Amino acid sequence: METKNVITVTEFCQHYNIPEQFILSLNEYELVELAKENNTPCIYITEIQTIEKLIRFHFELDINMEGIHAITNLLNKVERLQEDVKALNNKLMFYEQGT
Amino acid sequence: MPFIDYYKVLGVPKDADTQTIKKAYRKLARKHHPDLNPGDLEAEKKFKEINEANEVLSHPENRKKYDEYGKDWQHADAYNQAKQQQSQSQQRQYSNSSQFNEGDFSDFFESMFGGAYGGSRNQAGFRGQDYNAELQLDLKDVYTSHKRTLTVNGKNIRITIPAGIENGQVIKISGHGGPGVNNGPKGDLYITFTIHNSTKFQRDKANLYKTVDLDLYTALLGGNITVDTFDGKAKLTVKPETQNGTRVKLKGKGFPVYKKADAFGDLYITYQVKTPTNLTEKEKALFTELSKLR
Repeated sequence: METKNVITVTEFCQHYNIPEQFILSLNEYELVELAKENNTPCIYITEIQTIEKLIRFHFELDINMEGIHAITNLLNKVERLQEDVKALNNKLMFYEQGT
Repeated sequence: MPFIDYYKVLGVPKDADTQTIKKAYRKLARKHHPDLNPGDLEAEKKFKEINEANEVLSHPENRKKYDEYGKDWQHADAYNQAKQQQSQSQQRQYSNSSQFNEGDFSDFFESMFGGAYGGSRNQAGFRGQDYNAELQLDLKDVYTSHKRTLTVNGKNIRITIPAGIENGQVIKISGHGGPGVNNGPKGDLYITFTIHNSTKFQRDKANLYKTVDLDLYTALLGGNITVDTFDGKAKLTVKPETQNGTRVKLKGKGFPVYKKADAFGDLYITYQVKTPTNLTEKEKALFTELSKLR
Protein backbone atom coordinates (compact mmCIF):
# COMPACT_ATOMS: atom_id res chain seq x y z
CA MET A 1 0.00 0.00 0.00
CA GLU A 2 1.30 3.43 -0.91
CA THR A 3 1.88 5.71 2.05
CA LYS A 4 1.26 9.40 1.51
CA ASN A 5 3.18 11.66 3.82
CA VAL A 6 0.43 14.21 4.28
CA ILE A 7 -2.00 15.28 6.96
CA THR A 8 -5.25 17.11 6.29
CA VAL A 9 -5.32 20.80 7.12
CA THR A 10 -8.35 20.18 9.34
CA GLU A 11 -6.60 17.52 11.42
CA PHE A 12 -3.47 19.61 11.68
CA CYS A 13 -5.36 22.71 12.80
CA GLN A 14 -7.34 20.75 15.37
CA HIS A 15 -4.13 19.41 16.82
CA TYR A 16 -2.47 22.81 17.01
CA ASN A 17 -5.67 24.60 17.94
CA ILE A 18 -5.37 27.17 15.17
CA PRO A 19 -7.88 28.32 12.52
CA GLU A 20 -7.70 26.58 9.16
CA GLN A 21 -7.69 29.97 7.46
CA PHE A 22 -4.19 30.56 8.83
CA ILE A 23 -2.78 27.60 6.88
CA LEU A 24 -4.73 28.56 3.77
CA SER A 25 -3.32 32.10 4.03
CA LEU A 26 0.21 30.71 4.32
CA ASN A 27 -0.50 28.84 1.13
CA GLU A 28 -1.83 31.97 -0.58
CA TYR A 29 1.35 33.80 0.33
CA GLU A 30 3.32 30.85 -1.08
CA LEU A 31 4.94 30.24 2.28
CA VAL A 32 3.66 26.67 2.47
CA GLU A 33 2.87 24.24 -0.29
CA LEU A 34 -0.33 22.27 0.17
CA ALA A 35 -1.27 18.96 -1.40
CA LYS A 36 -4.78 17.89 -2.43
CA GLU A 37 -6.10 14.48 -1.48
CA ASN A 38 -9.65 13.79 -2.70
CA ASN A 39 -10.08 17.54 -3.05
CA THR A 40 -9.14 18.07 0.60
CA PRO A 41 -6.22 20.40 1.33
CA CYS A 42 -3.37 18.57 3.03
CA ILE A 43 -0.01 19.45 4.51
CA TYR A 44 3.17 17.61 3.60
CA ILE A 45 4.79 16.10 6.71
CA THR A 46 8.08 17.65 5.62
CA GLU A 47 6.51 21.13 5.94
CA ILE A 48 5.41 20.71 9.56
CA GLN A 49 8.59 22.07 11.09
CA THR A 50 8.36 25.20 8.94
CA ILE A 51 4.68 25.65 9.76
CA GLU A 52 5.36 25.31 13.50
CA LYS A 53 7.81 28.19 13.18
CA LEU A 54 5.26 30.28 11.29
CA ILE A 55 2.64 29.48 13.96
CA ARG A 56 5.00 30.87 16.57
CA PHE A 57 5.56 34.01 14.50
CA HIS A 58 1.86 34.66 14.21
CA PHE A 59 0.34 33.48 17.47
CA GLU A 60 3.15 34.15 19.88
CA LEU A 61 4.97 37.10 18.39
CA ASP A 62 1.86 38.73 16.97
CA ILE A 63 3.30 39.09 13.47
CA ASN A 64 0.74 39.44 10.70
CA MET A 65 0.81 37.56 7.41
CA GLU A 66 2.60 40.34 5.52
CA GLY A 67 5.24 40.42 8.25
CA ILE A 68 5.67 36.65 8.15
CA HIS A 69 6.09 36.85 4.38
CA ALA A 70 8.77 39.55 4.66
CA ILE A 71 10.55 37.77 7.54
CA THR A 72 10.60 34.44 5.71
CA ASN A 73 12.18 36.06 2.66
CA LEU A 74 14.75 37.82 4.81
CA LEU A 75 15.54 34.65 6.78
CA ASN A 76 16.11 32.83 3.50
CA LYS A 77 18.50 35.60 2.51
CA VAL A 78 20.25 35.40 5.90
CA GLU A 79 20.66 31.64 5.42
CA ARG A 80 22.18 32.13 1.97
CA LEU A 81 24.49 34.85 3.27
CA GLN A 82 25.57 32.65 6.18
CA GLU A 83 26.45 29.95 3.66
CA ASP A 84 28.44 32.49 1.65
CA VAL A 85 30.28 33.69 4.76
CA LYS A 86 31.11 30.10 5.65
CA ALA A 87 32.48 29.43 2.15
CA LEU A 88 34.44 32.71 2.15
CA ASN A 89 35.89 31.98 5.60
CA ASN A 90 37.09 28.62 4.34
CA LYS A 91 38.62 30.31 1.29
CA LEU A 92 40.30 32.89 3.54
CA MET A 93 41.65 30.12 5.76
CA PHE A 94 43.03 28.47 2.63
CA TYR A 95 45.01 31.58 1.67
CA GLU A 96 46.08 32.30 5.25
CA GLN A 97 47.55 28.81 5.51
CA GLY A 98 49.43 29.42 2.29
CA THR A 99 51.29 32.42 3.66
CA MET B 1 22.77 32.50 42.52
CA PRO B 2 22.20 36.18 41.68
CA PHE B 3 18.85 37.90 41.93
CA ILE B 4 17.29 38.62 38.56
CA ASP B 5 15.24 41.78 38.14
CA TYR B 6 12.57 40.56 35.75
CA TYR B 7 11.05 44.04 35.47
CA LYS B 8 14.40 45.33 34.27
CA VAL B 9 14.73 42.43 31.82
CA LEU B 10 11.42 43.40 30.21
CA GLY B 11 12.04 47.12 30.68
CA VAL B 12 8.75 47.76 32.48
CA PRO B 13 7.98 49.55 35.77
CA LYS B 14 7.10 47.50 38.85
CA ASP B 15 3.47 48.62 38.65
CA ALA B 16 3.11 47.69 34.97
CA ASP B 17 -0.23 46.10 34.07
CA THR B 18 -0.58 42.76 32.26
CA GLN B 19 -1.07 44.42 28.87
CA THR B 20 2.13 46.47 29.25
CA ILE B 21 4.08 43.34 30.23
CA LYS B 22 2.64 41.41 27.30
CA LYS B 23 3.49 44.24 24.92
CA ALA B 24 7.04 44.56 26.26
CA TYR B 25 7.57 40.80 26.05
CA ARG B 26 6.34 40.60 22.46
CA LYS B 27 8.45 43.56 21.42
CA LEU B 28 11.61 42.01 22.88
CA ALA B 29 10.69 38.50 21.72
CA ARG B 30 10.34 39.75 18.15
CA LYS B 31 13.85 41.12 18.41
CA HIS B 32 15.55 38.16 20.09
CA HIS B 33 13.47 35.07 19.21
CA PRO B 34 15.77 32.22 18.04
CA ASP B 35 13.53 31.65 14.99
CA LEU B 36 14.35 35.18 13.90
CA ASN B 37 18.03 34.98 14.75
CA PRO B 38 19.26 31.66 13.37
CA GLY B 39 22.62 30.60 14.75
CA ASP B 40 22.89 33.63 17.06
CA LEU B 41 23.72 32.24 20.49
CA GLU B 42 23.61 35.70 22.11
CA ALA B 43 20.06 36.22 20.91
CA GLU B 44 19.13 32.76 22.17
CA LYS B 45 20.53 33.59 25.62
CA LYS B 46 18.75 36.93 25.70
CA PHE B 47 15.50 35.32 24.63
CA LYS B 48 15.71 32.80 27.44
CA GLU B 49 15.98 35.69 29.91
CA ILE B 50 13.02 37.47 28.35
CA ASN B 51 10.99 34.27 28.31
CA GLU B 52 11.76 33.60 31.94
CA ALA B 53 10.80 37.14 32.94
CA ASN B 54 7.53 36.76 31.05
CA GLU B 55 6.84 33.39 32.68
CA VAL B 56 7.00 35.10 36.05
CA LEU B 57 5.44 38.48 35.41
CA SER B 58 2.60 37.41 33.14
CA HIS B 59 1.15 34.98 35.68
CA PRO B 60 -0.48 36.71 38.65
CA GLU B 61 0.46 33.98 41.15
CA ASN B 62 4.11 33.91 40.08
CA ARG B 63 4.31 37.67 39.97
CA LYS B 64 2.84 38.00 43.46
CA LYS B 65 5.38 35.52 44.81
CA TYR B 66 8.21 37.22 42.98
CA ASP B 67 7.19 40.70 44.18
CA GLU B 68 7.02 39.47 47.76
CA TYR B 69 10.12 37.29 47.86
CA GLY B 70 12.04 38.19 44.72
CA LYS B 71 14.85 40.16 46.31
CA ASP B 72 15.01 37.73 49.20
CA TRP B 73 14.64 34.59 47.19
CA GLN B 74 16.15 32.31 49.83
CA HIS B 75 12.83 32.54 51.69
CA ALA B 76 11.01 31.10 48.72
CA ASP B 77 11.36 27.61 50.24
CA ALA B 78 8.07 28.04 52.02
CA TYR B 79 6.47 28.69 48.67
CA ASN B 80 8.14 25.66 47.19
CA GLN B 81 6.69 23.42 49.88
CA ALA B 82 3.25 24.80 49.22
CA LYS B 83 3.85 24.41 45.51
CA GLN B 84 4.89 20.77 45.89
CA GLN B 85 1.68 19.96 47.74
CA GLN B 86 -0.27 21.74 45.05
CA SER B 87 1.50 20.02 42.19
CA GLN B 88 0.57 16.56 43.45
CA SER B 89 -2.95 17.18 42.25
CA GLN B 90 -2.05 19.32 39.29
CA GLN B 91 -0.11 18.04 36.34
CA ARG B 92 2.65 20.37 35.31
CA GLN B 93 2.74 21.50 31.73
CA TYR B 94 5.53 23.21 29.94
CA SER B 95 5.14 26.46 28.18
CA ASN B 96 4.68 26.31 24.45
CA SER B 97 5.40 29.93 24.10
CA SER B 98 9.01 29.62 23.16
CA GLN B 99 9.86 25.99 22.65
CA PHE B 100 11.96 26.03 25.79
CA ASN B 101 11.85 23.47 28.53
CA GLU B 102 12.65 23.32 32.20
CA GLY B 103 16.38 23.23 31.65
CA ASP B 104 16.26 26.62 29.97
CA PHE B 105 15.43 28.58 33.11
CA SER B 106 17.90 30.16 35.49
CA ASP B 107 18.80 28.67 38.87
CA PHE B 108 17.08 31.67 40.41
CA PHE B 109 13.85 30.78 38.62
CA GLU B 110 14.16 27.08 39.45
CA SER B 111 14.66 27.85 43.14
CA MET B 112 11.57 30.03 43.28
CA PHE B 113 9.19 28.30 40.94
CA GLY B 114 10.66 24.84 40.50
CA GLY B 115 10.50 24.93 36.70
CA ALA B 116 8.44 26.26 33.86
CA TYR B 117 4.74 25.89 33.98
CA GLY B 118 1.52 27.51 32.91
CA GLY B 119 0.94 30.09 30.24
CA SER B 120 0.55 27.78 27.31
CA ARG B 121 -1.41 29.06 24.36
CA ASN B 122 -2.87 25.67 23.66
CA GLN B 123 -2.34 22.00 24.31
CA ALA B 124 -0.77 21.11 20.97
CA GLY B 125 2.16 18.73 20.85
CA PHE B 126 5.08 20.83 19.68
CA ARG B 127 8.52 19.58 18.79
CA GLY B 128 11.12 19.92 21.49
CA GLN B 129 13.85 22.50 21.39
CA ASP B 130 16.66 22.04 18.89
CA TYR B 131 20.06 21.84 20.54
CA ASN B 132 23.21 23.29 19.04
CA ALA B 133 26.68 21.98 19.74
CA GLU B 134 30.13 22.65 18.35
CA LEU B 135 32.73 20.00 17.70
CA GLN B 136 36.35 20.93 17.15
CA LEU B 137 38.43 18.52 15.12
CA ASP B 138 41.71 18.47 13.29
CA LEU B 139 41.88 18.02 9.53
CA LYS B 140 43.51 14.63 10.14
CA ASP B 141 40.42 13.52 12.09
CA VAL B 142 38.09 14.01 9.15
CA TYR B 143 40.18 12.20 6.56
CA THR B 144 38.35 8.98 7.38
CA SER B 145 34.82 8.33 8.62
CA HIS B 146 34.84 7.45 12.27
CA LYS B 147 32.56 7.11 15.25
CA ARG B 148 32.75 9.42 18.23
CA THR B 149 30.85 9.66 21.49
CA LEU B 150 29.62 13.11 22.44
CA THR B 151 28.08 14.22 25.69
CA VAL B 152 25.18 16.56 25.11
CA ASN B 153 23.16 17.73 28.13
CA GLY B 154 24.52 14.84 30.18
CA LYS B 155 23.62 12.19 27.61
CA ASN B 156 26.13 10.23 25.59
CA ILE B 157 25.45 10.13 21.88
CA ARG B 158 27.49 8.03 19.50
CA ILE B 159 27.68 9.59 16.08
CA THR B 160 29.46 8.83 12.84
CA ILE B 161 31.54 11.68 11.52
CA PRO B 162 31.65 11.28 7.76
CA ALA B 163 34.99 11.71 6.03
CA GLY B 164 35.40 14.96 4.13
CA ILE B 165 33.23 17.10 6.39
CA GLU B 166 34.02 20.80 5.96
CA ASN B 167 34.88 23.54 8.41
CA GLY B 168 31.64 25.27 9.45
CA GLN B 169 29.46 22.44 8.18
CA VAL B 170 26.44 21.58 10.28
CA ILE B 171 24.98 18.11 10.60
CA LYS B 172 21.61 17.29 12.09
CA ILE B 173 21.13 14.38 14.47
CA SER B 174 17.38 13.84 14.47
CA GLY B 175 15.59 13.30 17.75
CA HIS B 176 18.50 14.19 20.01
CA GLY B 177 17.24 17.65 20.96
CA GLY B 178 15.00 18.68 23.82
CA PRO B 179 11.92 16.68 24.80
CA GLY B 180 8.68 17.45 22.96
CA VAL B 181 5.88 19.46 24.52
CA ASN B 182 2.61 17.63 25.22
CA ASN B 183 3.80 14.41 23.56
CA GLY B 184 5.29 16.27 20.62
CA PRO B 185 8.41 14.79 19.00
CA LYS B 186 11.88 15.48 20.33
CA GLY B 187 13.89 18.31 18.81
CA ASP B 188 17.05 17.77 16.80
CA LEU B 189 20.69 18.20 17.62
CA TYR B 190 22.71 20.40 15.27
CA ILE B 191 26.46 19.95 15.39
CA THR B 192 28.69 22.60 13.85
CA PHE B 193 32.16 21.36 12.95
CA THR B 194 35.17 23.58 13.44
CA ILE B 195 38.12 22.04 11.69
CA HIS B 196 41.63 23.18 12.51
CA ASN B 197 44.46 22.42 10.18
CA SER B 198 47.75 21.40 11.74
CA THR B 199 49.02 19.75 8.58
CA LYS B 200 51.21 21.14 5.81
CA PHE B 201 48.38 20.76 3.34
CA GLN B 202 45.95 23.48 2.35
CA ARG B 203 42.41 22.31 1.69
CA ASP B 204 39.83 23.66 -0.70
CA LYS B 205 36.80 21.36 -0.46
CA ALA B 206 38.16 17.97 -1.62
CA ASN B 207 41.34 19.28 -3.21
CA LEU B 208 44.59 19.55 -1.31
CA TYR B 209 47.50 21.86 -2.06
CA LYS B 210 51.09 21.62 -0.98
CA THR B 211 54.35 23.39 -1.78
CA VAL B 212 57.42 21.20 -2.23
CA ASP B 213 61.01 22.43 -2.29
CA LEU B 214 62.99 21.42 -5.38
CA ASP B 215 66.73 21.76 -5.58
CA LEU B 216 68.16 23.69 -8.51
CA TYR B 217 69.82 20.70 -10.15
CA THR B 218 66.70 18.51 -10.16
CA ALA B 219 64.72 21.48 -11.50
CA LEU B 220 67.27 21.99 -14.29
CA LEU B 221 68.12 18.43 -15.17
CA GLY B 222 65.00 16.56 -14.07
CA GLY B 223 64.85 13.56 -11.76
CA ASN B 224 62.73 11.60 -9.32
CA ILE B 225 61.52 12.84 -5.97
CA THR B 226 59.30 11.43 -3.24
CA VAL B 227 56.59 13.66 -1.78
CA ASP B 228 54.30 13.22 1.21
CA THR B 229 50.64 12.80 0.37
CA PHE B 230 47.97 13.05 3.07
CA ASP B 231 48.07 9.33 3.81
CA GLY B 232 51.44 8.21 2.52
CA LYS B 233 54.09 8.96 -0.03
CA ALA B 234 54.17 9.31 -3.81
CA LYS B 235 57.02 9.16 -6.31
CA LEU B 236 57.15 11.96 -8.85
CA THR B 237 59.20 12.43 -11.99
CA VAL B 238 60.35 16.01 -12.36
CA LYS B 239 60.75 17.13 -15.96
CA PRO B 240 64.03 18.81 -16.95
CA GLU B 241 63.94 22.62 -16.95
CA THR B 242 61.08 22.80 -14.48
CA GLN B 243 60.29 26.41 -13.62
CA ASN B 244 59.78 27.77 -10.11
CA GLY B 245 56.05 27.72 -9.22
CA THR B 246 55.20 24.87 -11.57
CA ARG B 247 52.12 23.02 -10.35
CA VAL B 248 51.48 19.31 -10.91
CA LYS B 249 48.31 17.38 -10.16
CA LEU B 250 48.20 14.01 -8.41
CA LYS B 251 44.79 12.70 -9.34
CA GLY B 252 42.78 11.13 -6.54
CA LYS B 253 45.38 11.92 -3.88
CA GLY B 254 43.35 14.72 -2.30
CA PHE B 255 40.74 14.68 0.44
CA PRO B 256 37.71 12.36 0.53
CA VAL B 257 34.60 13.81 -1.10
CA TYR B 258 31.89 14.26 1.56
CA LYS B 259 29.41 11.39 1.51
CA LYS B 260 30.73 9.95 -1.75
CA ALA B 261 32.29 6.60 -0.98
CA ASP B 262 35.75 6.08 -2.48
CA ALA B 263 35.74 9.46 -4.22
CA PHE B 264 38.73 11.68 -3.60
CA GLY B 265 39.81 15.10 -4.75
CA ASP B 266 43.22 15.83 -6.22
CA LEU B 267 46.51 16.85 -4.67
CA TYR B 268 48.25 19.82 -6.26
CA ILE B 269 51.99 20.11 -5.74
CA THR B 270 53.67 23.44 -6.38
CA TYR B 271 57.43 23.32 -6.86
CA GLN B 272 59.48 25.93 -5.11
CA VAL B 273 62.94 25.88 -6.62
CA LYS B 274 65.63 26.49 -4.03
CA THR B 275 68.83 28.05 -5.27
CA PRO B 276 71.99 26.90 -3.51
CA THR B 277 73.52 29.11 -0.83
CA ASN B 278 76.98 29.31 0.76
CA LEU B 279 78.66 28.66 -2.60
CA THR B 280 82.26 27.53 -2.60
CA GLU B 281 84.83 29.33 -4.74
CA LYS B 282 84.76 26.44 -7.18
CA GLU B 283 80.96 26.57 -7.47
CA LYS B 284 81.04 30.32 -8.00
CA ALA B 285 83.59 29.84 -10.76
CA LEU B 286 81.49 27.17 -12.45
CA PHE B 287 78.31 29.28 -12.27
CA THR B 288 80.24 32.22 -13.73
CA GLU B 289 81.41 29.98 -16.52
CA LEU B 290 77.82 28.81 -17.09
CA SER B 291 76.52 32.37 -17.17
CA LYS B 292 79.01 33.23 -19.92
CA LEU B 293 77.53 30.49 -22.11
CA ARG B 294 74.18 32.33 -22.18
